[in-house]
Parts: sequence; structure tokens; C-alpha cells
Amino acid sequence: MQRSLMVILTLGCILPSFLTTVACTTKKTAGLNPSETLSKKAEAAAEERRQQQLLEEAGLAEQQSAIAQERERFSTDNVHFAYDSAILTPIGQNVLNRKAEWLRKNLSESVIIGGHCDERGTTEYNVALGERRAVTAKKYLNDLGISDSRLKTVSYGEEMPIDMGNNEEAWAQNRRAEFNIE
Amino acid sequence: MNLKSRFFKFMFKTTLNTAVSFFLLISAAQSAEYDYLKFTNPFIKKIPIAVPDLRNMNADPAVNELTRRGADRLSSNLAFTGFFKLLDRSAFLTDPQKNELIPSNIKFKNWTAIRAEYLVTGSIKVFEGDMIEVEFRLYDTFRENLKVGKRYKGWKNDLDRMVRRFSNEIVFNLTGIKGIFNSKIAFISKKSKKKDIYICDFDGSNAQRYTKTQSITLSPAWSSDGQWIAYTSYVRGKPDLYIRNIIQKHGVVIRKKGSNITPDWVPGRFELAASLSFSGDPEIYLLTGKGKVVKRLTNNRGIDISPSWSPDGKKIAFVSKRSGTPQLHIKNISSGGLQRLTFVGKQNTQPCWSPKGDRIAYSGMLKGLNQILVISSKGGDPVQLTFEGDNESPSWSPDGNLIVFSSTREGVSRIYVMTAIGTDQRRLIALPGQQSEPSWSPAFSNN
Repeated sequence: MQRSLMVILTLGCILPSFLTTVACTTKKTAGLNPSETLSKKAEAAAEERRQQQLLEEAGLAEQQSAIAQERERFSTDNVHFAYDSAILTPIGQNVLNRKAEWLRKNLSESVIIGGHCDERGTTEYNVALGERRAVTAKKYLNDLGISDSRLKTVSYGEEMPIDMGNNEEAWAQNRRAEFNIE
Repeated sequence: MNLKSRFFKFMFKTTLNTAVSFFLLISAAQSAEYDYLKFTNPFIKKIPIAVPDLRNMNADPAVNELTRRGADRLSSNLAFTGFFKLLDRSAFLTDPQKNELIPSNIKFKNWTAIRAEYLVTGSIKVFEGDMIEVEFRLYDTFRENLKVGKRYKGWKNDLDRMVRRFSNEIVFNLTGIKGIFNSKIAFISKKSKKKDIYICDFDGSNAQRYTKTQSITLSPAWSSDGQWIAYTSYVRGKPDLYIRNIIQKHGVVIRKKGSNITPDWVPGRFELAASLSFSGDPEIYLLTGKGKVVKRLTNNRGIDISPSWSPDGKKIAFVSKRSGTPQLHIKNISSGGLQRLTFVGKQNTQPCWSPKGDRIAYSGMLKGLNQILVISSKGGDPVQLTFEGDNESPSWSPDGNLIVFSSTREGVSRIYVMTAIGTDQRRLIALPGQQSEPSWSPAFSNN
């Protein structure tokens, strides 16, 4: 089995190179002949097909990378909140509008919304506050027509900061609702 | 329970009777008066007490190590309470090894001269190789009388436990309140993003890991008989409530939709309150120890968490955001009456009702940092007890005289303890990683 595969592969490599050698030889020695114009046309057609295919592939790849980017963006764009607040800001609402758009395009996807807090509140209160944040984001998506069954929430309180810093910038990053595709 | 402690228990039971009769014998002359020390501020004017080395009843100098250890442990136990001033042993006018401390020979003037108000004498006898017999006596040096005396038998390794028992006797005898020396502290220790429960002795010693969740575990809470512990853990990906028998470790999980957090046991019952958010927002419920919902205790949109029972089990203090910011409220369970307790500050959380019932400790945010405050359970002005770093999670000692809490005053979060009025603040534990959320157990009776 392995041996016959090797034979085919070898033939596959030798045969095309043999053919081109023959073609070149013909060109040099025989000059113009009827078969030459024919083969040129065929060559051009093949080239065109090849180009077309490449274009299509490139288009497909582009499309796919756009999809991947959108997906990536869906999971990395967080909704941020003011200190000790679970109320959506206009910016937060915009982020959620884009999330809803994506969820409408990707009907088979479900999402876990994680609620997070900065470290300043006390531990248990932050679990409750993080939950309010996740639930607020979820309800907003529900209102935009995203089915309840596709959205779960879980609060992580202050347990999973993205920025370990002890300053306003870090805290602002950490006060968030995160979206994880299930 | 291992064989050794079983044996100790057995020995103790048998010696308890002898100890009682022994006690009766030597204190027969004493009237049964209960004039406990009444102090308005016991931690400011500490009671001077002398604890000389125990008397070595064997000729063997190797036993000296035990006689010193007994006195050292007893001294540090008494000092821990914040009530006592331990007098310097080098100032003593009496040599404990020279028969001057046997009951009939004590010269109380030698002790009042160095301003000791109380004296604890002890002796230790090693027998059959690894067994010890230990006697302790507490004297009032001014009245020149015996307050309490006990004799214990057990293994050499049980010396610390015997000392803890007599420490309990001393505190009970002088204050009328059970000592805390058999109590434990549960707390959370965080290492490489994982949080687990650890349990240590009242003074921070013998810390042992209790849960091995490899996850995030929060809010340990002891049942009032000390047999059960409830906590929140993310073992199954979200905050669920675990109720476990402390020894056998069996129990139940409450894994309703949403967050299942902040348990607190009803005093004297196998029931607890906790905040569950399955209805859509966090509300406080009364649950059985088996995890069944008995009834809903709060009804309000928004955050209602962190119940803490009054010692009579009739009320809960809890955190509610109903007025816009998290504030402490008190709910009367039978009447349903509700009262807001805190009005100063924008974030007041983590209430812990004192065992005496008169006060509530909590965390309040001041200038961006949490501090421990105490407020009367009837309301009024709070008193701030901590000032350095971020301080959270106050929990009362079972006698109500101390508060354990977490603090970042020396960098990362560690466990600290202070008296109920905020004096004698010191660190209890420093394990690798960070420690938080201490919870003091009830005062276990002598075990």
C-alpha cells in the first residue's frame, strides 16, 4: 500500500517535468506549427481559470478572516461600568448593539456573560454587583430580540481582574461584562 | 479522630471526676461567690497576672522543657485575650522549683509585692515514659484564695490542649464568659489564582487546608455547634453554596440558577440564611441545613446579601442597596419590621452581629478604602476601629471580646486580630499567597 503510493507520487513529480522538457524542445527545434497556437490558447485559459480560483480563494479567505475577526471582536469587546454601578452607559449600549447584530447573524451560538468588578468593594458585595452587571447586559440583549435561552450569566465578582493595577485606569478595565461564546 | 485523642478524651473523662473532687476538696473553704470582674474598658486597664514555670515533679531535668512550655503557652493564651498583663518572670521573688509554690507554702505577699493580682501555679509529672499529669491553680493574690484548680492526665503531646483548657477555666472564672481557646478560625487563602478554605487555631497556629477545590472558594461560615461549615465555591463554574460536615465532609450543594452566596447559620439551629439570585435578583432566604428553602426573608429589587443573625435568632442584619448604595439594614423575622442601620458613607457591607447582641461590626468604605467599624445594633454613631490599609471581613470571637479581620496594612492581604474596641491590633497568620475572609468558630467546649 505504502509502496504503490510512493510510485504514484514519484510519477506525479516526474511526469510534468518530462512534459515541459518536451514542450521546450519542440519550441526550439520545430518553430511554428498548428499545435502550438492551440496549446497557447489552452494555456491561457488554464491560467485564467487558475487566477479566477486564486481570486475566489482569496475572497473566501478574506471573508473567513472577517468572520473570525467579528467573532474575535465579539469575545474581546467588553461592556464597561461606572464604579459601584450596573447601569449601562451609552458606550456600553453601543457595544451591546454590535453584540446583538452578531448574535442575529450567528443563530447557533450561545454566550456566557461574565460580570466583573474592581477590587475596591468587599468580596461578597462584588459577587452580587458583578451579577447585576451581567444581568443588565443580558436584559438589554433580550430587549433587542436575542433569545433568553442563548444567554447565560455568571458573576466572578473581583476574582478575575484583567488589569492587576491599583489605579483608576486598571479599575475601569476591570469593571466589566465579558462575553464568552459557549 | 485518631486513637491518641480518643485516648486523651477517655483519660480526661476519667480524670474529670477526680479533677472535680480534687477541686471540691481544695476549695471547700471558699464560698461560691460570683463576683466577676466588671470592667468598663477591660483592654485599657489590663489585669496583672503572674505565670511562673510549672514545677518539675520529676528529678529529670529533661522535663524542664515541658515546664517552661506549659508556662509559655499559658502566658501567650492569656495575653491573646487582651485582658491580661503578663508579668516578667525574671522579676518573680519565688523559685517555682523550690517547693514555695505548693498550695500550703504560697507567700502571697511575694506576689502582691510585684503587683500581681492573680497567680497561676502549675506542676507537671511525667510517668510511664510518654504520659504526663499536670495540675494548675489560679489564685487571687490580694484575697489570698484559690479561684480554681484542675488536674489533667494525658500524653506529653497533649500539654498544649491541657493548657488551653485551663486557660478557658481562668477566663471563665474571672469574666463569667467561656474562653475562646478551643475555638478555630476558618479563612480563605489565595495562591496562584485559586482560593481555598484553611482552618487554624484561635491564635493562628496549626493552619490546615480544609478544601481542595482548585477553584475560587469564598465566605466560610460556621454553624453555631461548630459541626458544619457553609461556603460559596466556583467548583462547578458558578457561585454555588456548599454545606459540609466539618469532620466527615459530607453535605449538600445548593446550585440554583444565578449566585448562591453569603451563608450565615441561625444560632442554635441546623438552618441558615443565604442570598440566592434564582428569582432574578439576589434575595435572602432561610434554608434548612440540607439545602431546602424554608422561606424568603427579603423582597426588594436589587442587591440583598450578607445576612448576619442576632444571637437570639430573631433578627438579621444584612446589606441592601434599596436606598441606592449598599447599606446595613436590620429585619425582624417574625414581625417583618425593617430598619436601616447605617447612614454615613457610600458603601457599608459585611455586617457581623456580636455574640453579646449589642453591636454589629462591618466594613465601611472611607476615602476609597474599607475600614472596620462597629455600630450599636440599635443604631447611632459608628466607631471606626482600623485606619491603616484596606480592612475587611470582621468576625467576632465567640466571647465577643476580639474581632478577626483581613488587612492590607503590610502589603498583601493577611489575617489580623484586635480587641473589640480596636486595641492590640496584630497579625495572626502569614501563609504564602494572600489570606482573607476570616470567620471565627463558636467556643467549642473542651474536647
